[in-house]
Amino acid sequence: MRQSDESLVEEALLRPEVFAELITRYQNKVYSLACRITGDAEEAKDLAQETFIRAYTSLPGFHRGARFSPWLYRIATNLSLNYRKRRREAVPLADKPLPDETSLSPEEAVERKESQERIQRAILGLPGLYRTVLVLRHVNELTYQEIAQVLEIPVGTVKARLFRARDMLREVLRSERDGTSI
Amino acid sequence: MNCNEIVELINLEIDGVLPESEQETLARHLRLCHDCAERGRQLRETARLLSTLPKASLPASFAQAVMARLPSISRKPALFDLRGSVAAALMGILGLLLLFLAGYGAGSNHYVFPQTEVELDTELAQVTSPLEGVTSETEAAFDSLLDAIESVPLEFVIGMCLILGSTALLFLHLMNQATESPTAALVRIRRPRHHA
Repeated sequence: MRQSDESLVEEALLRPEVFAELITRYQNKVYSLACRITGDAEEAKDLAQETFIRAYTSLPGFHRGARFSPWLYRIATNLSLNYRKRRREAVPLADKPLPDETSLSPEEAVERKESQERIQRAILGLPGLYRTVLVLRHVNELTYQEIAQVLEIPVGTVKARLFRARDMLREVLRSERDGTSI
Repeated sequence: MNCNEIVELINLEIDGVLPESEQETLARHLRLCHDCAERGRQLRETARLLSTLPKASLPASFAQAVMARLPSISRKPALFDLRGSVAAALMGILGLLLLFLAGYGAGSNHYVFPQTEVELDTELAQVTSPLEGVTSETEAAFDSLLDAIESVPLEFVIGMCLILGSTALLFLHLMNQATESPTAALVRIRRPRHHA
């Protein structure tokens, strides 16, 4: 049976090497989150690293009974948002493409790449408040309750922000097509 | 139900959490309201595009790279970890065992009560010669002390050292467990300051 994150945290306090298992479990989720919030794959890697280092140094203060993943996502979210504040200008995705694991035909790949760049650009155009909930919901696939735990806000606020974010994104994508429907 | 409420139902449906009881309400409204139907279609398409975003991944070596960079805040010295406590307890037990052996091995308990002999000697010296008593008393006390030290078995000394050592180790371990790392207190994750 897979050991719970929280029991790994307890163990990592006595044996630091156990923390590697927690990194392995969450490295891609944290990296994806940082990628989508910052739009910069290289920076996201550094932010993922920083997230785990911060988490590790804060382990002694981790409240018993709390869940590990929302706490970790909170660190990653804050670091990514702070990075975006420092470098407000959007990083051109063409220069630093995000990794794509899928294997498609050349035409499909081009089409998909364009579509992904369009959506990523649109996400980056949203205020951090809305971008965060959107990424947590659609990239990290968290539930409303989980997002509420990450951001420490009520579930109702999560829904309001998420629905608003989707609607803003819908508007951006629609206006990109010069008023035609997406 | 007005159009704003319907948009909320559309969003709940996209997230897969629309209650069954509301599904018919939504479907009925969408059949009648062209604006909501179009908005719903666009929202679903937006969600679909979001779902096509690739999951970014890092190489397996990432974890080890991070581990190598971790600071040593909770990487406690061996002295303080669980093994340290066990070692301290074993040292204490060994010390007690040696004390026990020393008590029996010496065959007498003169090292246990050296002060009694010294006190008796000094009292006698005071009674017989009050003026010379000070010198003879000091000499007698010193000699008795030397005798007492020499007569202390080696097992007793080692045993006492082990017990004192183990007590100190256990104390340090308990102190370390009880206090939060000062680094942890310094690291405070700030809540995001969103900008609308």
